[in-house]
Order: sequence, then C-alpha cells, then structure tokens
Amino acid sequence: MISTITKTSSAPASSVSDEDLGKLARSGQIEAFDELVCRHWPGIRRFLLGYLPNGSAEDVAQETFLRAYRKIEQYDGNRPFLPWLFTIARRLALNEIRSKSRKKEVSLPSHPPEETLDEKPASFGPLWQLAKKRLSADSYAVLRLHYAEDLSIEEVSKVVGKGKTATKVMLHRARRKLSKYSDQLKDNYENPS
Amino acid sequence: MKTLLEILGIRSMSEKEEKLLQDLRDEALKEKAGDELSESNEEGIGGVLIALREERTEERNSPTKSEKSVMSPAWTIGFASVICIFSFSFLIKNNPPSTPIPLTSSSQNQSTPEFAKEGFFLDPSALTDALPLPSDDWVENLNAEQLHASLPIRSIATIYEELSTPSTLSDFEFPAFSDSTLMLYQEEGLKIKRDLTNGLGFLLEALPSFDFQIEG
Repeated sequence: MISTITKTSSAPASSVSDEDLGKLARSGQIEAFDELVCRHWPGIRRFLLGYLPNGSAEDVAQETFLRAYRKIEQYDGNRPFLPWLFTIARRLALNEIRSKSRKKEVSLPSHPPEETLDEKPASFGPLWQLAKKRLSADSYAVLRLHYAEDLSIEEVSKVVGKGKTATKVMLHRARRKLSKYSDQLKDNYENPS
Repeated sequence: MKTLLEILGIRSMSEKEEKLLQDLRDEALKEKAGDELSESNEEGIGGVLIALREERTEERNSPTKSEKSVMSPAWTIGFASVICIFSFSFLIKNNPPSTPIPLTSSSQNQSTPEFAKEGFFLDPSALTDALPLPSDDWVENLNAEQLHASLPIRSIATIYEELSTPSTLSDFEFPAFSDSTLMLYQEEGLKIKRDLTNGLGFLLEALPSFDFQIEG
C-alpha cells in the first residue's frame, strides 16, 4: 500500500522508524500516522485476536489507532512506539471484555475465543493457531509480542503490566505448554486420518 | 551475555523448544509477508484511515463550533450591561419615581421652590372614611339652633374673633352650652377672658406662688 508519506518526504516510508513517524505525527504531520496504521494494523489485529473474537478484534484495532491518534501528544518520542501502541490495544481489549461480561454476566474467558465459520480467516500459521487455542490470553499475548513482534522482555512486561521476571516465567510456561501440544499438531499433520 | 545455566553447560531451553520457537518466528514472518496481499487487511486499514479522516474533519470544524458556542468575556460583559440598561429604562418608564412634591419647570430658575398644585391634592374618599357622615334624616330635618348647641363651631369662631379684638372683649358674653362636654371649653374661655381683661394682674397674683431664693 502506497502511503502519502512516501510522496511528501524524500526518504521512503519504510526507512523511517516508527519512533520518527510518531514524532512527525505528534508535530502535526498526520500522514505519518497513516503510515503507522498501514505498518501495524495486521500485528495489532493478530494481537487482539488473542483476547477477542474476529469481529470485535477488528473494531478494537480500529479504536486503538483512533485512540492513539487522539493521544499522540502524550507519546514520548524517545521511547519505542510499538509498546505504547500495544499497551493501548490491550487496555481497550480488556475494557471490551469487561463491558461484554457485564452485559452477559459471564466470567472472563480463560482461553482466547475461537473463530466461528462466518468470520474472516485470521491468516494464522498452524503453530500460532495452536498457541491461540491452548494458551491463556495473556500468555498468548506475551508469546506474540516477544516472538512475532520482536519486542524485548522489558517492553513486553510494560505492555502486559507485569514485572520482567513474571514475564519471563509466563514465556517459559507458554513455551513448555505449546511444545507439548506441538507434538499433537505434528501427529495431526503426519496422520491426518 | 551467557546465563549461569549456559556457563554450567545446562541449556535453558530444550532442542524441541528451540525448534518450536524457530517455527513460531518463521510462521510470523510468513504471516507478515502474506499481510501485504491480504484483502481483509486492506479493508481494515482502509476503515481506519477513513475513520481518521472523519476525526480530522471533526477537529477542523470543532474550533469554529467552540468559537460560536463560547463567547469571549468582553462580549459577555457588554451584552449583560446592554440588557441591564434596557431593563432599567423599561422599569423607569413604567414606574416613574414617586416624588411627593414635583417641581415645576419655572421653579428651577428661582431660589425658592414653587410647588405644583397636584402636590396638595387630597383624596376625598380618605376623608369620607375618616369622618362618618350623619344619617340622611338628620340632614334633611336640619334644626339650626340644635345644631349650634350641639356643634358650637360658629360660637367658638366668634370667641376667637372677639378675643382677637380686645376692645370688644369686655362686652363679650360666652354662649351657654347645653352640652355638658363643652363646659370645659366655656370655663377655659372665661379664664382667658378674665386674664386678658385684667391686663397682667394674673401674673401679679401668681408671683407669691414662686419661691425666689438667692444663693451666696
């Protein structure tokens, strides 16, 4: 997707870091924010799919970018942009879950929601699909942020609101649990019948 | 930086786990590569960009709205003062100040104020209420003598006329009042007549009653 920023600035958009785009957006160059949307929409959506079903995840992803745009003045340009964006996304997802649980008077789901047939495919690989299915929402989020979005342990811990050690423990448990189920996944692939 | 477990030769992660993580990373890269071709992502991004444009349009329009809705303090004070002036002038027109003795225009040029006639106007209804009138029968069958006897207005007026002319005072005789309540006036009248006809004799008579004491 060609964004407006590539037309206006001399450097190609891909060479500009998220932090610089965040600073540009904060200084009033709203096209820079459009580029951030193009870059991180899929990642935010997949991250949110750990907490919410497909339709709600897309709505919350949209709300995440709108909220980030409204609060762009609060973004500290000296800090990485992506953890700030994921923090907003996670908070909005938890708010959505709380509001839904209040309406339906049901408890919070221990596992990420499964997709229904009428929803769009989430374009997950089989392992990530398994992780989404078997891990808790926060464990999936930690795994996703660290291994798919390449966030450091410190950044991940800030997003999920936990300490570094707790985040490492969560990652360790998630890996172990997933490795158990991965054998089952291999068996399914090798012997589909 | 190596961890203590790695230094001791103990691997923190089994080969199986390492393989799993590598597979997870590979899958994530494939996902990202596929995102550029995904129609659903384009739809989602398009939706966000449209929403952002709407947001920006609202932002551009919002300052004019706020300017319209919120008035500056100077304008507010100005409008308030104009409204106050109009309301006061309206009240003054409807209820002029109640000056008991309005001055005429000619009096403004004179040192002594001249009072307008309207200032002395008496309300007749107030007098009627204050002095109850006698019955109609009494008024129709009017007896002058009886009236003079019971209401000695004319007689008292005569007394004061006589008193004001001392030459005729000695010849003046008080009328006899039939009403006992008027006897007091008669007695007082006689005293005044006596004092006036005797000159200052009454003062000489009264002198012994004063006690003069000279101190020192």
